[in-house]
This record gives sequence, C-alpha cells and structure tokens, in this order.
Amino acid sequence: MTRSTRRSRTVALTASAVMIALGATACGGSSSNSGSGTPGKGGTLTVLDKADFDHLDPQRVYTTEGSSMDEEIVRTLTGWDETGSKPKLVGDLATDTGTPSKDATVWTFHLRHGVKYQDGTEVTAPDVKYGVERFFSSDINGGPPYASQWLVGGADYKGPYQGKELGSIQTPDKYTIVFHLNQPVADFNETTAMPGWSAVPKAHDTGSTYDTKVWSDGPYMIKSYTKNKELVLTRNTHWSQATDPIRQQNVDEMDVKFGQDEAAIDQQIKADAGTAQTSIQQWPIAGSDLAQLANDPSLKSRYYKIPAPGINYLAINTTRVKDLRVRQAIEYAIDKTTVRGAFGGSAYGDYATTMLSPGIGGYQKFNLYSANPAGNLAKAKELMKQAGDPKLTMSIAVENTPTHEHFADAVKTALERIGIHVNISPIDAANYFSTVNNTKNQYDLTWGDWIADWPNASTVLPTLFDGRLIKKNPQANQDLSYLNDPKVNALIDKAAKMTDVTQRNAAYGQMDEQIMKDAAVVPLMYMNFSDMSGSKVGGVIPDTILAEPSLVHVYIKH
Amino acid sequence: MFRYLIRRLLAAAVIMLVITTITFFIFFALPSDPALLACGKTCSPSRLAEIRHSLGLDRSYLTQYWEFFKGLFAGRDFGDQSVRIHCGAPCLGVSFQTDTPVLTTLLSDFPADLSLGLGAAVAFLILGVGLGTVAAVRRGRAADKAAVGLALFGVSVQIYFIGLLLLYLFVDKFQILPTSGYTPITEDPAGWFKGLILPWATLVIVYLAMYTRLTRSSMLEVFAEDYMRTARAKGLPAAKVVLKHGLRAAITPIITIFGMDVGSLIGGSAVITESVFGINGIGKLAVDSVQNSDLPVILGTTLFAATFVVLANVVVDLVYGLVDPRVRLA
Amino acid sequence: MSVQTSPQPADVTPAPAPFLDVRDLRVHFPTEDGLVKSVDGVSFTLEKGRTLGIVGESGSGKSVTSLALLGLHKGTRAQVSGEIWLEGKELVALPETEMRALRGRTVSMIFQDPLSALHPFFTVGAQIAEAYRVHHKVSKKEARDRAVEMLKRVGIPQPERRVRDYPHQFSGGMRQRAMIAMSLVCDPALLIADEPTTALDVTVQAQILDLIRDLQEEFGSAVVIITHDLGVVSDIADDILVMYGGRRIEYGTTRDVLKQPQHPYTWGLLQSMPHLTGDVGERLDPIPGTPPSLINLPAGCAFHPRCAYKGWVHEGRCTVDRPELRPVSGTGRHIAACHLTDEAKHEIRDGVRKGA
Repeated sequence: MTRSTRRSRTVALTASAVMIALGATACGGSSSNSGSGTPGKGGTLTVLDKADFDHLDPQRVYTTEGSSMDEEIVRTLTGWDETGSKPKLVGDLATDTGTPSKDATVWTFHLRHGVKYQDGTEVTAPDVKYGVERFFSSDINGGPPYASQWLVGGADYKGPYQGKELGSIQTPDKYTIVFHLNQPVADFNETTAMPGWSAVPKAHDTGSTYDTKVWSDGPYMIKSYTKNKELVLTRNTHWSQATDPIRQQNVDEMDVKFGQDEAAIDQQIKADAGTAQTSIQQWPIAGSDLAQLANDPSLKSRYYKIPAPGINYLAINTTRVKDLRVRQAIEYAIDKTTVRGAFGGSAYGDYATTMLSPGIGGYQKFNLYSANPAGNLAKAKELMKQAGDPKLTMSIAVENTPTHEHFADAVKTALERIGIHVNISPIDAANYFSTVNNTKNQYDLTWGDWIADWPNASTVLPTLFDGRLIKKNPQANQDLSYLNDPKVNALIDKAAKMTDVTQRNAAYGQMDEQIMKDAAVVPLMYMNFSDMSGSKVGGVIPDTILAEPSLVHVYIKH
Repeated sequence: MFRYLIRRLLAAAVIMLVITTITFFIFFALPSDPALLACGKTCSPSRLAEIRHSLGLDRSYLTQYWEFFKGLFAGRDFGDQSVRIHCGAPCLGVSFQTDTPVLTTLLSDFPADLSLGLGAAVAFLILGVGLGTVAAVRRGRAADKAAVGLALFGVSVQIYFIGLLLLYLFVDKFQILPTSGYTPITEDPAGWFKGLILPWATLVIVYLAMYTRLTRSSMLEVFAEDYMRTARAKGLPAAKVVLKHGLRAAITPIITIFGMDVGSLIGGSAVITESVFGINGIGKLAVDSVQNSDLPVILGTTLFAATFVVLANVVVDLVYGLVDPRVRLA
Repeated sequence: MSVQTSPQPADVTPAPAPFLDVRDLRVHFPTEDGLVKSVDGVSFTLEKGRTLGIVGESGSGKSVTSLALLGLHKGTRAQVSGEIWLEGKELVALPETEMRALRGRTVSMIFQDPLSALHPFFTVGAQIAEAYRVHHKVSKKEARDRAVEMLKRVGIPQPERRVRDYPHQFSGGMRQRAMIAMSLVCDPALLIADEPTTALDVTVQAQILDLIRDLQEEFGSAVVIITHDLGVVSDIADDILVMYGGRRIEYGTTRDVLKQPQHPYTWGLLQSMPHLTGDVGERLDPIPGTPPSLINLPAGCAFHPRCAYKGWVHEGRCTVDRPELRPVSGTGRHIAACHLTDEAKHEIRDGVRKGA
C-alpha cells in the first residue's frame, strides 16, 4: 500500500525545525492541562490533513489516510480489532472471518443481519457483490489489484456499468456471498479487510464521482465534502453498535480539513490551543520535526508512534550489479546509522535486516550480514578484494528532497570507502515511483519503500521479488532489484498454493532469507509513523495495519 | 481608447492561445503519466490501456488538443461508463483526479485567492508606498534606516518562516486569532477577515520590502526633478509637495509592478502562504495538479493565472494612461 | 602702484533701505570631499522696477544665490549665512513657514528649463491655478479664471483651451510663457529668472526677454536675471554682477560694465558674446580652462589659472594675494577685483581690439 503518491516537501525544512524548537522553549508547559477530562459522547473531532485523500471511494482508495477514514464510513467483510496487543482479524459485515474451501479457492462469508445504510435500508450480499464488481471498471481506478488478479473471469470483466455481472461472485441468499478464486489464497480474508470489499448500493453509486458521495453503512456518514477543502462526517443514526464489533460512535462530527502545510499542522497540534486541542493528524509528523517532537516528554500522552508493516530499503539491480560478492560487499558497507539519521533518527524506525518487518506474518528474525548497523568495513573490503577490486561506478535513484539527498550522500560515503564511486540521480518526488517502476529507467541502486496491504508476507515478497512479473508490467514494475531467482520464484509458487497459514509463513521466511542471500536488497529500516493529537482527544488506537492513528474509538474529553 | 482595448484583448487572446499550447505540449513531453498514476501501484498493461482510454489519453495529442479547444467554446461531455459529466462551455476539461469540471473548482477556489491577493496587495501598496515615502523624505536619517532595515528583513526572510512564526505567535501562543483558514465572506464576514489577517500580514511583510525600496528610490529620483523645486518655489507646503507632486510622479513605475503582482497573486501565486495557512486556493490547486499529472487542472490553472496576469497588464496600461498624460493611448 | 584696500566696499554704503539688500551671503554645502563654498560673500542691492543681471559660468554660484533668495536651501544640508533683506525682512533667519508665505507671492522664480520645471502630469492651468491658490483663498473656478487670464497676458493664444493642456503639448517658447505666467500669477515684488532663455531658440529668446521686460514695466517688480550670457542682460539689465568661483569679481551698472569691463574674466565673457555690430567672421572666444573647484579655490585670484594676463602683474601676486574689490575710478559704483593696473588694462584692451 502506498502512503501517498504526494510526498513532496521541498520548502524550508530548517525553518520548520526552528519553529518547532521555538515552540518547545516558549511553551513547553502548554500541554500541562492535558489529561484532564473523561471519555464521553459528543463534540467535534478535527482532523488536519496536508492534502485531500486521493480517493474515498472504497474501491479506489489505496492510501493509508483514505483507508483509515473509510473505516468510519464503510464496513468491510472482515476487519481488524486492534484493541489488544496484536491486531485480531474479526468479521465486520460478515459474522466471522469467512470460510475457505479446502484448497482455499472458494471463500464464503455470511453477512450480519440488520446492518443499515444511512437511509435505513439493510446491507445485503448483492450490494457487496456490486461493490467488489466496481473494482473492475476502468472508471473506478486507483485501487488495489487483488480482485481482478484472483477472481475467476476477472481478466475479461469490465465492471458492472454495462449491466454485466461477475459470475465468480455468487449471492445464494441475501446474507451470503461466495467468491471463486483462480488460485488458492490462504489469507484472502485479510484481503477482505481492505476498504473495497464492502457494499455499494447500486442506486447510490455515482461512478467516478462516488468519492464525495460514499454511501455510509458505518457509524459516520458524509455531511459535506468539498474536494481539497473540507470533509464533514456526521453520525449515521441508522448505525447500531450491536452489529459492529470494531467501531464506536462517540463524537458527533468529524471535521477533516485539507491543505495545510505539515509543519504548520505539527506546530498547531503541539501548541494545543483552541481547536487544536480536539484535533488529530493523519499525515505523519514531518521528518524535520520528528526528532524534536518524539523526544518531548510533555507530548508523551498524545504522541502516537505507530510501527508500520513496512520497509525502507535500497534495491540493488541484480542485472547490472551481477557479481554476488560486490552485492554482499554493499550489504556490509552501508552504514545504516547515517542512513537512519537522514530519515529522522530513531523515531523513524528500527534498523532492518530482513525485508519482512516484525508485525508481518512470515517474519523471521535473522541477519546475514553485519551485526553492527554501522556496517563491517573490513568484511566489505575483503569481499571486494575477492571480486578482484573492480573499479566500479554506480548510479543511485532517490527523490529530489533534502531527506533523500542526505540519504544518498550517506550511501555514497559508505560505498566510496570500498572503492565504488556513486553518482546520485535525484528524481522529482511526485514522479519518483512512476519513473523507477518503468523498466526503461534502470539504476544500479534504487531507493524504495513498501507497506504491506495486510500484515502478511504475501503482500510484500511476491510483489517485490517475482522476476516473472517484470515483463508483464513493464511500466509498473515493483521488482526494483530486477531479481529473477528461480529459487525465489519457486518459493513464491509453493507458498501461493499453501492453505495452511503457519506452513505458508514458514515458506515466506525462507523466501526472505533467500532474497537476502542473493544480496538483492539492503533492508534499511522497519518504518514507524508518528502522529499527534490534541490533549482533549482520547481513544486513539495505533493502527499497525495502516500505520495510522485509528479513529474507530475516538472521543473528545470533556 | 476603445480600439486600443480591442487590440490589447486580441493580443491577450493570442498570448493565451500560445500559453495553452505550450503548456499542453510540455505536459506530454514530461515523463509523468496520469494514467499510470490513476492506475495505482500495481498496474497491468491492459488495465493501464483501459484507463488511458477512459481519460482520453489514447488519442493523438492533436486530437486531444482539438477536443480541449472545442470544449472551450462548445462544452464537452465526459465519462463513458459509470457516469456522464457534462461540462458546459467554456469547458476547461474535467479533472482526472476528482472528476469535477475544472472551471467549477477554479471558481470555487477563486474567492480565496481574490480575498488573499487583493487584501494583501492593497495593504502592501499603501504601507510600502508610505514607508518608502517616509524613507525618501527622511533620507539618511533614523526613519530612513529603519524603513530600509525593515524592508531588508522582509526581503531576506522566507514566506514559509514568517507564516509559521505568525501562526505560532498569534494563533498558538497568544490565541488572539482563530486557527486560520478561509471562510467565505458571504458566510461570515468577521471570520473571513480574522482568518485572512495572518496570511495578509505574511504577504505584506514579504512584498512590503520591494515596494518600500521601489518607492524610496523612485521618490528620490523624483525629488531631484526640477518640477519638485518649482512646486516648492510656488510656496506649497512640504507635505503637499511630496504627496501631490512627488508621489504622483513616483508612483508610475510602481503601478506596473503592482499590476503584475496583483494579477499573479489573484491568479494563485501565493502558494506557500496558502499552504501554511491552509487556504485552498488556485496556487495550491496548480501545484497539486502538477504533482498529480492532472492535465486538465494544469491547463486550467495555467490559463486562469495567465488570464489575470494578462488582464493586469491591460489594466496597468489603462491606469498608466490616466496617471501619465504623456502616454495617453491612441 | 599701491594697492587700495578698502575695509568698507563702496557698494555697501548705499541709499537708505533698498528694496532688496543682500549682504555678505554665503552658501556652503558640506560634502564627503569637503566644504563646497558655492556662494562666498556676495552682496548686492536692487530697487523695485530695476533689473539686475547676475552673470557667470555654471558653478559660479549664481543659481545657488537665486535659490537662497527664495529660501529654498532651508531644510537642506546647506549652510547659509549673511543677510538678505527684502522689504525690511531678513530672509536668511526667517523660519520656513514664514518663508513659505513669501515664496511664489513676494519672491517668485522662472526656472531654466520649462519642460522639466513644469510637472508633466498636471495641466498647465492646474499648475498655474495651484500657485495662485496657495496664497489666495479663492475657489477652484476663480483660480482657473486667473490662470486663463495669466496665459492670455503672456501671449498664449486660445488660453481657455490651452489651460487644459499638459506641458508636453506646448512648444518650448509657450512653455516658458506658461512658466512666466505661473511665476507672475501672484504679482510678485521680486522676480528671479534663472537662465530663462537658455533652452529656447534665438527668435523665441528675444520674445521671452521682451515679455519679461514688458511685464516688469506692467507689474513694477524687481527682476534678477541669472545667465551665463552677457548678451541676454545687456539689453534688459540695469546692473550687472559678474560672479566667479562663488564670489563677485565685477559689479556695476550695465553701461559701465559693458563699456569699461575691468576684469579679464568679464573680457572673456564679452568676447564670447556675439556682436551684431561685429565682423561676420569674428571668432567667439570661449574662456579657456575650466571653472575652479569650489572646495579648494586657487590661492590668490581664483581666476589666475585661466588668466592670460597674470604676467602683467608684478611678482606673481595673482597666485598669492586675493584681489579685493576696488572702485573703478571715474565711475559711480563700478567695482572689480583684479590686480591689473588701469594702465595695464587699457593697454591690454587696446591690444586685444587690434589683434582681433
């Protein structure tokens, strides 16, 4: 999942840091009045976002901010209960987490009775079928690809707007829905926790303009929505707590304001004055403010450091850097401490040694290379010597932001020490991924990050390292390492067929290790995302699936 | 005068045509692909082709260009599957991102830019010309040094920094002003005003510098003119000499720059200010549209901004004629 | 030859209370390079209905003197000392507010270049009317009528129409007429004309000078004409004051100065003046050399570096002693500052005439 394709912050990083520092000295005690007040109903929560959600339409949303907001409006077949120490998959629209056939190619869900839309009509299985069918229309673009990848007949289906239905989704009765998949998907019920696996009533579908008119069956419905300006959610009076195991309906309204600069939002919430007391942010704290705010003890009660099921990495193009020893030398040479410094220090995340992060199903703890995150120069030099000390020049692709330029400098410094000269290619941040994902643009080293769509290795490793996909999606290639290792490919196919989750996770762990053996990628950090709220906001749950502050239990202290 | 106006407007139309054409073809020269962006992170070639078709990007550039122009005068209909969107003339297209007619978005954003730009412009013109005049009159003395110093400060600080500082002081710390943002004047005039005080102040601080310096140097130049001595020799009071005879002449070069500034401010050039204070105006729309490769919005915002700059130029010429009788227009 | 030094120059013991009495006027400008002594001890008198011509090259201090008469150095860095008595009022020490009441009304000025001296953005009529309204409580309409009347008086055809024109719509001569109209709009007692004809072509020059003379007769004002051209003042002025380096070098009635010029500099000025009576092929000799620095005037006679006759004076006195103003023998109040003896002067002037 992408956090957002809009990630540019080009102006005056130092300025914001200065301002935050000013705030720290001038009004360090401003949050002393926080903590007072008790949970209760009512009030308005203000959500401050840098930019509008690219989509709110459940079949089109693919950003963490939009998905998190959709949780308030749209109920999905399954969902995550995150009140415990670990996220727990539960039935949401469905009564339970679904029933797979033996080979996990047919999945059946039974819907709860009495789940109501905002107009009081009941949510039914055909509405869910219709909603999922929308995925296939080219008008409903931008969303995740799983429906069209997995549902039988999906390759030729063009969506419901020409009056055609998809035969592989069946609704034997009002409350039952059955999905026929073209391959075993053992964790399909985790896929169905994504916003698009939800009901859209045909009568209220407005096609490509549905973003602002999403029809609610959740606790909140759209009261008004002006794109790029403001979204106001208000209580859906037909929603009932009794049918919903995940959400609460505490605040009266949620007022989402778009368009303010990240640093200005950080500063405002930190200062905790006026409406900022009842505000929360969805976009993570700006990198330049992170170190400052993460270490401010006065913010502790309203600072949320959320581990993301994601990885920040440096891909080594295995078709260009062919010598395994050179790639291994790079693994040893990279100084992850300076790299992490560039991204905002320890608050940004922990040093990574694997491509799967700890929260992800399939994660196994191992480290094939330097035990010291600062690297092992001696070992790296030795490997280069074995490779014949080639005089190498490599290109590295990064975004043209200060953060990334610092990062690229850190890599350059590290690699110069083992005799590799590095040329930095900064790419316009807004177009970074569309550039590096195009196979026409190849670099020796390519920066990348990836957040799992649900916490399973199946949404990470097959996407990032299946070399057979390179030719299939030449303009949207995710395999930045251009790794096409038969061993890895075989493991991908093997894991895909497994219906036992435990076995499958073991296979993914093996896959992760094989990729690291290939030295195809340098995992840098397991990412965290940090957000703040005002002192009167309570009930915020760190959502480690989306790496967002979950608002499903949010309330205003009175 | 009337013929001049017609001529200027025709020239403006040609300029707009050129700007549109250039923007259009630059867009296609860029590596970014709006279809790819819409398609999402994992995008198959067949799906990409479908999206390209539904966005109309599969047709030749010339056809797209022609469609765009047809839309300008005759309107267009968009969407072929899920929904039909009618976009009446003058149709600037429909956003790839929001499926809203671009003109609708522009018009809804415009009051914010108009309020922000005009308000700030009036303030920095009056203050800048005032300060510059004082500096020129008190040349070399404390008041001059203070004004020049102030101007230097304004020039050297960044809008971004000033904006955050003001926000911090007046909203967060002393809580004199409400959390900023734009409230339409029709909804709540007081809220409109309060919300714009800081954005105005930010722009004033930054623009003030230039206007102070410009006025100062222009005034000093005028002070050396013979007609200023004549005015004094008539027995006019010093204030009248400076304000009537001096300012009238010194203001002419300022009008040109002021016109351009107002035009571009209204057209959405105050992006950073918009962003710091959470005012969603045309500037932000333009920046976002570039980042989202949203061609219709890029074209729309460019045309819109260009319209105001060109319009401002025409107005400047007209005003110039009023101020300086020597350039009365044929 | 003994040097006659008089502690009391002849001209400062005049008839009682002249209309304008300038005594030892000094105007100095402090600059980074030093003190610029633009005017350094100038005295003269002028009666109503009379005309004084102040003659000198640019930088001789004549324009600075005229600005001092208007009090226009007030509020600038200029240091003004000495006395200017006008109708019994001393102007040097007069506060700005009171001086302002006199400007344009009692003392008024015609500036050199009417194109730059008139404001380009206001109509001619408005500028004249403004000058009137500053000193008279009248309606705009009345002031406008007055402007039309003045334009008519200075000979501008169709004044009712031209009053609405801008300066750039006027010809050069017309502009100067308008300028004159503006300076006379309040019937000033003292009119200063600073190079009033320099910017104009010859035929227009004569017209303008005639106009000034006619108007002077009509209004009975005292007139100071400042010029670098002796020809301009020869017809019109009663007295001539020749300035060099901020000081007087020769002063007397027009008749005396033109007939018996005493100073080599005045000779030079005369020679550079075209004579209608002179030979067609007569060469106009400009004075060789450049005007002196007003910060460091040459020691002795300020003119000596350019003077062709300093050899006629014994022992190089010209480079050491500053010549005092001495009465010219056989005249009423003609004075000059030169070390040359009368004999030497005669000899030289005869020689010059012959040589030419």
